[in-house]
Amino acid sequence: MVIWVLARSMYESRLQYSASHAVRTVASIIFGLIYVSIWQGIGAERELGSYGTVGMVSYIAFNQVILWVTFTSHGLGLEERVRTGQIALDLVRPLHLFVFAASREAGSIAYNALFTALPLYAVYAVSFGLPIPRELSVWAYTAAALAMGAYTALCIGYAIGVTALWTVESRWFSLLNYSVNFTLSGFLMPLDWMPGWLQTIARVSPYPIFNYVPTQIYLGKAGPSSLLVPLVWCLLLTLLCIAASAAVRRKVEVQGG
Amino acid sequence: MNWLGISVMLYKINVRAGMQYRLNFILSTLLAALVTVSEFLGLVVLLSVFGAIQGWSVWEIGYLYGVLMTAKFLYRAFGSAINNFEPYLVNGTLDQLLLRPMPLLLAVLTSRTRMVGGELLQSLTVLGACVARLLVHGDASWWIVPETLLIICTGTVIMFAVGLATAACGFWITRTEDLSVLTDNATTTACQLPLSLFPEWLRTLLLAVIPFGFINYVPAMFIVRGEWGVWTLAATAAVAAAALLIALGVWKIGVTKYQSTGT
Amino acid sequence: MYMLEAIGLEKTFVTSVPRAGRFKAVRTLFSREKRAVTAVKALDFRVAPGEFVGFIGPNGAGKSTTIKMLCGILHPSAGEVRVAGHSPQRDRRKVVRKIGVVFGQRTQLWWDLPLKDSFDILAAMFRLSPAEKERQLVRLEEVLRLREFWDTPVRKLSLGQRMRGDLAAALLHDPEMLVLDEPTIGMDVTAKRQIRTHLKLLNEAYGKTILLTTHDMDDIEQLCQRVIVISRGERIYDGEIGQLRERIGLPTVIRVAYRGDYRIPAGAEAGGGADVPDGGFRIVERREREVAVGCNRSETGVMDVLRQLSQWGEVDDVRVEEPDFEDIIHRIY
Repeated sequence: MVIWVLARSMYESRLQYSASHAVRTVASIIFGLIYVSIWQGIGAERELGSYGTVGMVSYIAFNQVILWVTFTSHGLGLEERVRTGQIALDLVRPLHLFVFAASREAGSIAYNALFTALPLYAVYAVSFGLPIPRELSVWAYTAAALAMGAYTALCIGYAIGVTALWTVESRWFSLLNYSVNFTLSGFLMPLDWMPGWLQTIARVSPYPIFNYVPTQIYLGKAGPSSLLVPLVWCLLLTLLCIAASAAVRRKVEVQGG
Repeated sequence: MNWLGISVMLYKINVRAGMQYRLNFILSTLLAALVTVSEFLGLVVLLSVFGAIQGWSVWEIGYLYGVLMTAKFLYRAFGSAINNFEPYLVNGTLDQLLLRPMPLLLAVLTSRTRMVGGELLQSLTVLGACVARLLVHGDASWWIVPETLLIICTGTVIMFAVGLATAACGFWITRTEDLSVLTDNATTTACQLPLSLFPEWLRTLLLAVIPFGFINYVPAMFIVRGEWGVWTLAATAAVAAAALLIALGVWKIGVTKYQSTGT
Repeated sequence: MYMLEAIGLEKTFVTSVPRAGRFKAVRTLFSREKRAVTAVKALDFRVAPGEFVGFIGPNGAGKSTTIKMLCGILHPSAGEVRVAGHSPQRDRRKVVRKIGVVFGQRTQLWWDLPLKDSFDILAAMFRLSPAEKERQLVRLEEVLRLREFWDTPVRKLSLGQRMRGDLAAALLHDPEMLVLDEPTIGMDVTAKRQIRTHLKLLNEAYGKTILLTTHDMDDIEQLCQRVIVISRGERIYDGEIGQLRERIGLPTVIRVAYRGDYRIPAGAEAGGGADVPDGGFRIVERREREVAVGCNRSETGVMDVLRQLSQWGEVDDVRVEEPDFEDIIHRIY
């Protein structure tokens, strides 16, 4: 229940800044168009493997749509709470800090899903003929993958936010996370096309759950078995977040709140 | 001391103030370098898989990237205040700057400095490697060196002008961070590759509205491709000058609309 | 010539009207409906060289907006400002050389550097020669005593020290006028007293014209010869502090603690705001061994009240409470 209330309040506070959000949605649509254009240009000159130009355009466009479901604010807003000292009060709550931060961010993700991902999906479905799967199971598996992606993003965001207790430059960890994410998640190109060494790194990292896995499932190129590795990551990251919370508690207690 | 001297002094002061937090300084420099390297990796992977794109060799595309990123980080170094202008409007930092007996734009610019050593080194390395390769293979003459230096300057001016116009929009709409994602990040992403790749409307946008195409693509059509005439350099300089003038005009009008905070 | 003139000064802000109801976010975005909020309305006043003027009013009255127009930060929607004959909007850089400005909640010092570095930077910015700078620093040292924390990074200074630093920074280029926005905000009593002493000296001994906004009535009482009161963007009083006092009276609360029991004369036992017959004061609060009474000092002197109260029992302790600033402002309109 608490989770719902926190998420809802965040969702509603996001509703306040509609003008700047509209600009962001437009920017996102244009970003997607840029990436799609790149592949259309490349596809005009050569075959694009098992995807073909049309398949590749769908791959890129769907990536751009779901980008917003796994997009979290810097450190789940924890840096701000550390700076203002609010964190000490957050720790006194009967609610676990991770649950607190993650629920709030989940509201923000819901907002992004509704007001960015959905419009993008509609625009791309019309302009690029993004395929719409008929089987219910594909929808279900895609939804499961996206939920795991969102959860993974929350865990990583939380771990980054926690570093704010040790350095004022935690923002750079977020930037690093975003940029590694772009390459390893398969956002720019499918993992299969990457050079072997990079593919290996990508496949053992948690990042493919953000783009590659859900998009493959959505396009009917992979089944539910591709959800196994991400599931292991979700468990591992949960443990990491619990450990991180313990470290935060120690650190704040040492500082005397 | 003239304004230039005072600006140099203020930039130095910012660096000194930043150095007070040594560990954070080292960490941020390191991480910033990692971020650019990993962003570059995306392009490298793309090129390693496909080689040439639209008749542009890997080295020519590397040249486009090198020029674009060098211009970007030069702008980020001295114009980081303009690039992050929203807090100035939201926190009222601009109030204090308006009380300085300096031209306002100069006061804003000199109020913040970003250390870009690592990033600049990386983009210059890419640029240097590509220019060297083009020279060795006889694809370019030694003229490429002064020409490249020239377009780095005009490119930095174009970057700055677009950033300034975006920041100035803040005087009307306050929140400019999302807008600058559009005018700065999206355009930078597109211009890493040859403009000919893009549909007509996007190309027009990048040449006529947000003229990032003139940072690298247009002059490179002359410098490395030799397809267009020397006029492209003149056009590039003219576009840079025009963009700067327009941006300064928007800024000047914007300042009179400034609403400050707490009212 | 006047040091400062505001002629028909107005400032209107335009904001878009938020929509309510379902999809309010989307509807606000496309809404063309705007609302003009007038922060300052047809404000006129003049300040002569050497005056010490208090500029007061309740929160949101338009004080900050006015101050920001006087310094050239904001551009008025109508009307004009002249600082020593120059418009701060057209000749901003000329005007900021003639005034020193301090915003109590912000600092213009360089946060991470030792205090003295800020003065090197400001001296270069205002193009002071080394000799001029030294001369100014010697004079400022007499008034503000900065040497004791000269080498401390600004972020480590106490609020009072930082304000002395900010005052010195605003005075380094030897401006003719000082504009101070809530300079004593958040300070303890000692620091406040110190800052007031400094300000008085600057006005009296160095002839600086000072315009001060504050929420602290003591600041006004002890420093200003003249006050301008604004409310809802309009001037509602401009004159001597003494006349303001006469106009609103001097509501004062006197608390007396008795050693033992006390006895209230018949007719006033009702307590809670009852007027004491022929006493010229009224009872505000009654406790076991303490009574609080309110009077208007322009009608009844404190000593008169005390004389009467001492007949009620054996007085142990007396406290006189000055009225709350907001109360005073509310009494004017």
